[in-house]
Amino acid sequence: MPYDIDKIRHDFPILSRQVHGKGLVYLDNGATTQKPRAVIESLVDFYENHNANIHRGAHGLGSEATAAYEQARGRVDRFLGGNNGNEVVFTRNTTEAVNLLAQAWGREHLKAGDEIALPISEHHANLVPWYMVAKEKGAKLVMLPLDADGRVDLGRAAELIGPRTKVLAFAWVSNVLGGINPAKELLALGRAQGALTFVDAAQAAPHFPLALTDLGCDAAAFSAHKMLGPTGVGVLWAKESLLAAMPPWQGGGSMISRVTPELVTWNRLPWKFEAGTPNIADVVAFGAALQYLKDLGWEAIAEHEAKLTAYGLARLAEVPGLKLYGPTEPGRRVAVFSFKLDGVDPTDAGALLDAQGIEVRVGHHCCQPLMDSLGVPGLIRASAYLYNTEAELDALAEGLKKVTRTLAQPRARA
Amino acid sequence: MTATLPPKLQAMVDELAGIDDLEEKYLVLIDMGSEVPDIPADRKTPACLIQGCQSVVHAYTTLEGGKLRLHGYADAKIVNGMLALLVLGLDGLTPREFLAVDPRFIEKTGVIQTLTPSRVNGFYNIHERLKAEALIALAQGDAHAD
Repeated sequence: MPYDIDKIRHDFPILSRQVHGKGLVYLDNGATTQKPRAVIESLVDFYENHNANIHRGAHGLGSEATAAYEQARGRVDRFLGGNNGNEVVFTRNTTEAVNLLAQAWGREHLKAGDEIALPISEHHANLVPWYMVAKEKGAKLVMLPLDADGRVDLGRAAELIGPRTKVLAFAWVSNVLGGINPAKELLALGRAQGALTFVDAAQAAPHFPLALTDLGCDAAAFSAHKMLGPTGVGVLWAKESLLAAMPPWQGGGSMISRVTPELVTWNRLPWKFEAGTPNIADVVAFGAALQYLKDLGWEAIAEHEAKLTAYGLARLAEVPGLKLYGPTEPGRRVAVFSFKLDGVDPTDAGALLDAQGIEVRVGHHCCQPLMDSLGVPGLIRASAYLYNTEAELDALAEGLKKVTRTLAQPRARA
Repeated sequence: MTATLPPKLQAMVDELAGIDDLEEKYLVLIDMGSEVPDIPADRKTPACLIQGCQSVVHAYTTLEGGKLRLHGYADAKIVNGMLALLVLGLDGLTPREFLAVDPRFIEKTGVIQTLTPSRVNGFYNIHERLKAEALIALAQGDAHAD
């Protein structure tokens, strides 16, 4: 079936609105994506027709809600290439998933002198939780440098990942540079040292099915809202053996098997890690998002995004004074473009693009160590997704040219 | 909120408030900023750096014949435009006159509604710094008068 971009855009009500009187050009998908009607309707349908708490009520509504929630878990599991829902834990977001792993696993296994290896390009979400547990246990972070392409330098990683490495954690796709890291090769380095291997898939999951069982990591995490789902839902995937060996992180209802004042025993997987009433409706709607993506077809999405990547690279190259970071070869990156403009403060560029209806992100992108290593205070980031068009990238390129013209030549006022 | 603003500031606020198109509003604000003289390099020190701004902003005051002279510079052009409202619009007032101006005049310009809270706070942080120096000048002036 051909990729009908007009029909797809029609599925996203927000894309037809205006911002500051201009047609919306939404290019901040790395931050969060827009929602198709199917996801919005799923939320409404849940609250109008099926709302009840799950895993407890001895009534029909509770059973319906539980079934819908667990059906979403099954969809996530299949998206990950798995066949074992026990390995899928719902969290609030990727950040919470990393905190869960760092705390539950790290407190048990890390000790003074241990090392946690992370690329310098990591999002704070996959850095600060490890920093916190490292501080507590006397372990230290070892930062892996990038190659000229902005991806993890495998040669240097091989030197830095050694017998002291107890954790190797990295983003599959950089939220700033858009580069796709050589995940399999990196994981092999970590596995060879017996390290816990964790993949932050927050920027990968929106673009391709993760096939985690094939990838060879111990754990991974991603967020629903970056792939058409609602905010407030994240996933921690981990091998069942790992989850079974880890103590729970948060205590409360649902995660227990038996409670007495003297002894508490834990529920079975995955509920051991889902304390309290979860974000039921949003999880259900995430299931609708995964179904929408599957119906569009991952191959078709990838083909469309590859076109956008190549087109975006070409158009941005025409903007005077623009320096792009990350891989220049389309096959090594996704359609996430971070750049600076000579003599232009990123916040000015962001505001002036916004005034044209073009929504991008500016700043350090939750990657201060990367900004320091690049020697920039911040960058401008335009991130495209499956509903963006080449015409929107034209608007971005022309908008940026206008920004540079405006800021280079202040006009005389009347 | 203060009903009347000093004439120079009032004119700047009115000019911005009269522009509906956001892009045009930003352009005029940037132009206002271009009229702000840069400050001497020896004033671009941590002592004059405004904390809590996303971009680098320096601001300070001097006292000339009982009037408060305002100086400042921001690397980012839109912030520099907001700075212009203060350092051009309120320059040359007595400390007491300066303190009588409610900084929420910025809301009337329509330029902050679309900016992130951190940048709106940046404007108020600049004003807070100038206000603190105005209070010191006022106290010193009163002590002198005593």
